[in-house]
Amino acid sequence: MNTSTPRRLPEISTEVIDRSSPLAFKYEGREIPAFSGDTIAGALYASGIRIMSTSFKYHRPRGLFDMGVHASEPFMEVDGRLNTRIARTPVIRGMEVKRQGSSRIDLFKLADKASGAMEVGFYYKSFYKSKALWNKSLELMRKAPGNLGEVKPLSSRDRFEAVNLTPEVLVIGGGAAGMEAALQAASADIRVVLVEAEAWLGGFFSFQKSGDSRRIGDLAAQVRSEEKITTLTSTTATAIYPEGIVMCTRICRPEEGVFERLYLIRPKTVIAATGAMDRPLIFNQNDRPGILLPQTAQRLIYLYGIKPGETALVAGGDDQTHRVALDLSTAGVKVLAVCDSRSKGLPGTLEGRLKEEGIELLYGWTLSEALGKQQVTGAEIREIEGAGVETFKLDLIVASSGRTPLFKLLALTEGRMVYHPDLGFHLPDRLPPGFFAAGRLLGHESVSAIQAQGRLAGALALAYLGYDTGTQIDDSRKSLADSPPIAPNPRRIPAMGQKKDRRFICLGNDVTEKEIDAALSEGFDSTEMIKRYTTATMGAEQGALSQANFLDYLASVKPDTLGNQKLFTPRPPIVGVRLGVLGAGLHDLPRRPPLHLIQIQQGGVPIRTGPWIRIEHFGDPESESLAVHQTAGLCDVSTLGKFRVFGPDATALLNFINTRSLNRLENHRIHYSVSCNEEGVIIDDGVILKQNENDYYVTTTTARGPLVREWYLRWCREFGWKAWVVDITDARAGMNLTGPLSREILSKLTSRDISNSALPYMHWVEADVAGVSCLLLRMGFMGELSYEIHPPSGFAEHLWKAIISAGKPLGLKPVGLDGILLCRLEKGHPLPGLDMDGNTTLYEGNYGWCIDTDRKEMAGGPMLKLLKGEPFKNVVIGFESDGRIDLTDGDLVVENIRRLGYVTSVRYSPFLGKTIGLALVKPSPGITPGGSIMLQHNRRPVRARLVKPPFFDPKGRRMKE
Amino acid sequence: MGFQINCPNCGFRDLYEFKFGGEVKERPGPDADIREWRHYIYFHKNTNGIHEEWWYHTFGCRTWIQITRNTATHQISRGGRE
Repeated sequence: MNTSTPRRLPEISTEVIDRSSPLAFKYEGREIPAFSGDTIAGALYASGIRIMSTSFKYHRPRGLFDMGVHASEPFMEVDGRLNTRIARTPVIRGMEVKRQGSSRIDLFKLADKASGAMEVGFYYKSFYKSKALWNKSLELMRKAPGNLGEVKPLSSRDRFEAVNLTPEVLVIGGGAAGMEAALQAASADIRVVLVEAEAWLGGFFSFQKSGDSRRIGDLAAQVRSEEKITTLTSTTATAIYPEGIVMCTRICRPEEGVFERLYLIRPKTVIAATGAMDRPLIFNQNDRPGILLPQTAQRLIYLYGIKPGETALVAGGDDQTHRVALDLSTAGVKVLAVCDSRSKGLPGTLEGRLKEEGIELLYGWTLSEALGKQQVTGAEIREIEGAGVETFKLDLIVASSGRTPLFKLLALTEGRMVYHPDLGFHLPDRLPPGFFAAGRLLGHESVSAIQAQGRLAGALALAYLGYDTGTQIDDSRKSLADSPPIAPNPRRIPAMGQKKDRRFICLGNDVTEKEIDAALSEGFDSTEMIKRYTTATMGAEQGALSQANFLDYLASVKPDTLGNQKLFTPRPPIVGVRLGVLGAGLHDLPRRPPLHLIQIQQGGVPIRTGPWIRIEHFGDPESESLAVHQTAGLCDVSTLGKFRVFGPDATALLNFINTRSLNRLENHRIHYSVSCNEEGVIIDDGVILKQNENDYYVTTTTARGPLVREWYLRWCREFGWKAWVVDITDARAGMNLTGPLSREILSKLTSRDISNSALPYMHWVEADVAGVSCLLLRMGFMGELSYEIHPPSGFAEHLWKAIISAGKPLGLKPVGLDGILLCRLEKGHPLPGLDMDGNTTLYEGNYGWCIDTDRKEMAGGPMLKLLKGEPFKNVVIGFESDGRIDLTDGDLVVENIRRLGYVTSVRYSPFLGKTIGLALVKPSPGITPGGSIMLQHNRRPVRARLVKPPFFDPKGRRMKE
Repeated sequence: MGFQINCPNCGFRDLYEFKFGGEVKERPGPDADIREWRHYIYFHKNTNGIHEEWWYHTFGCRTWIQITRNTATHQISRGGRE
């Protein structure tokens, strides 16, 4: 009973679809029937859909071609996920599948018709002259790729997860060789992980008709029942990294609750049994939908029960093509002929069977052209050594030119892949210690050789781990020696026939032989350059299908100079993975200061800055900054790095790291200091308080706290200093009460005398504020009278509330990060990492005043001594302009047409009525105080006056009195 | 195979958790020639082979460790957990 579409074949024992659970999914407004276990591309094919996408450059129709592990295109949008590899993606009930790329009315299709419109190097040749042309064409070019979807921001919210495994042996590939290797390894009672890209075991033999398939089925059952082997199906090994991590990914089933899972496997030894893929045959129009690789045709028949076509032609040059012809014939496809480019077949092959089936076998013939405007409707074949020509009407071409071992994964290691001219393909050679290879990856085709090779690899891996497997190694070597020799790939057939301009070497980027010829005639003479110029092998398939043919073609055209067939360096991942999966397991855990909740309750708007969530503003940052200048503001500065540095060598440590000397630091004085690295570049600024002899309280900036800690510890280790650096960032909160009325507000909450004489500028005391014991620091970061209050974190919220209610009648406002940054800009404080970059020295950052020279040694000291008086490479400057000017951080500073530097911070200051900013620029004669500079905002020039910061109160009276 | 560092506090961890801190060098004395300083700050041996180096366990215990590593094979012969 067959309830499915007529293209489905009767049930076969090898199939992986579940005919008892039919389902449907949506495709371009249609309902497509399928069975559980189908791939999207397979189900579409079974419904008669041959054209599935358009090609990258010429927008030619494309369809199903490859279904193997490396298959990339055709791409479709599946449930909002762009560029999904539909040949590899299982169907899910109700999923929504859409074509992507160009619309139906497609001007770029003309590029295919008008030959030469998109000739090789088109962009290089067209756009180097006129900038205007470039700008206009940019939008058009973005629409040019015919196969890719349009990115939508946050189009998916898929979940990912990571799993770490550390087996003794990892086997990549669950085919005959991989399973034998895994069983051999597991015989030593050690942990083995077997990774298989398909949802089932068996590899190549899972879709072969031969009697071997039962043998493979038994092997799979044995693997499944072996406790020591963890089998991961539907899991693709995508990279091997030098640290020995093998990265595998698995697209999960919907019920697993995770879209894709990342396996990070750290094995002691790796056995690669990745198999081999078909090498495409090159003929004119070899990209037409309706052309399949032999393995694809076999997969359709034996795995999915799909009849690939009605009338077919098979072309190639090895026994595999004969086998596929028989498979097609068995599936009810009328095979018109088999073109075999060899002059005769190997002994003991399938010629007789073909004759029985009535299939014409043509030795010495090859396929020269596929006919058909949209999809295959016919084929033209030619006699290689003669003048014979024949054409057929058909709807299916199955063609290949031998095979290519899947060595890409091994090529990521230090191993070499060496070209064997007698075989016509590359084989792994000199693998690094602990790596072994087996199976069709080594060129073997007979099942007994593949199994013996698998057992050998397993035994060698065990020997590598220290097990005595001498007899197993000898046994498998013996049976290998008795196996038939490795059959070579067919030789390359030069282009034949009238039409030769659509022989695609690279389907991914639409690169033909003609285009490679053009590159050669333009003088390109190295493989790597021709690759980049023509973009051959650089499409979505990343050379999986095209690299072998590309190298082979170059070697045939220029055997003397380009004949070495050296492979390109593959780069991970070798099979596309979703970006999200690479971040799986890495959780973002932002830090919240103890005052976070109370500020949110008071209307604070959160913003992410580095690891912290801070408050950006409370609705109106400008009025917050005005409150600081006119009444008072309260800011959360709990995120500042806070450290206790103590121990016998604490003074030595701090004296070494800071530019200010602690030798004259009295109790209750606050030292402002910066620290430099050994190059004299500023790494941070902060303050130091002396609490006791060799016991200091140190603050750093928010961003650089962790770095400063690292810096302290490094020097403690280097010099063997006995000093302890305790991070108390989380133990103490910080709030800055600042503004002309701040003393009045604070005195309501503390009995301590905080008058200017009792607590002068840059002094600190310990005081009870609202009943909480705090450190009270009188400082001036924001240019006004300021008290920085550091209570224990647990009391921070209580204190914040107390200060707000005491200050509200006087006009106190909570101030967010925006207001803080504006006030510090008005005061002209450059921030390390923002207004200064990784090259700005102490002098260039205008911190020349901040260095004491009374110590023998200081980090960066020798360089600073040398740099003193040297001309600046870059310098931090201040500029201003009346009124509200449209400028943003990052705008350019220009002189004529030369770029001098860039704006690092710019804001409108309502207090000053001016737009003020800092910039990091190269020194130039034009840069002098009182002069002016030219800025560029959105390509419009803006002139600004140069001023020496601070932008107000240069003597600092407001903060000191 | 493998490049993991045996952190004295955390055990074997991936290299990605650590920050490279450069070659172990002796800091010149305060009166050293400027040439020595230049060598100390800007010149690195970039050894292909046995290398004494600093690592900081950024995504772990946040301590500095010194190891001896063969840069060609990633084999660590000294350092970390003894």
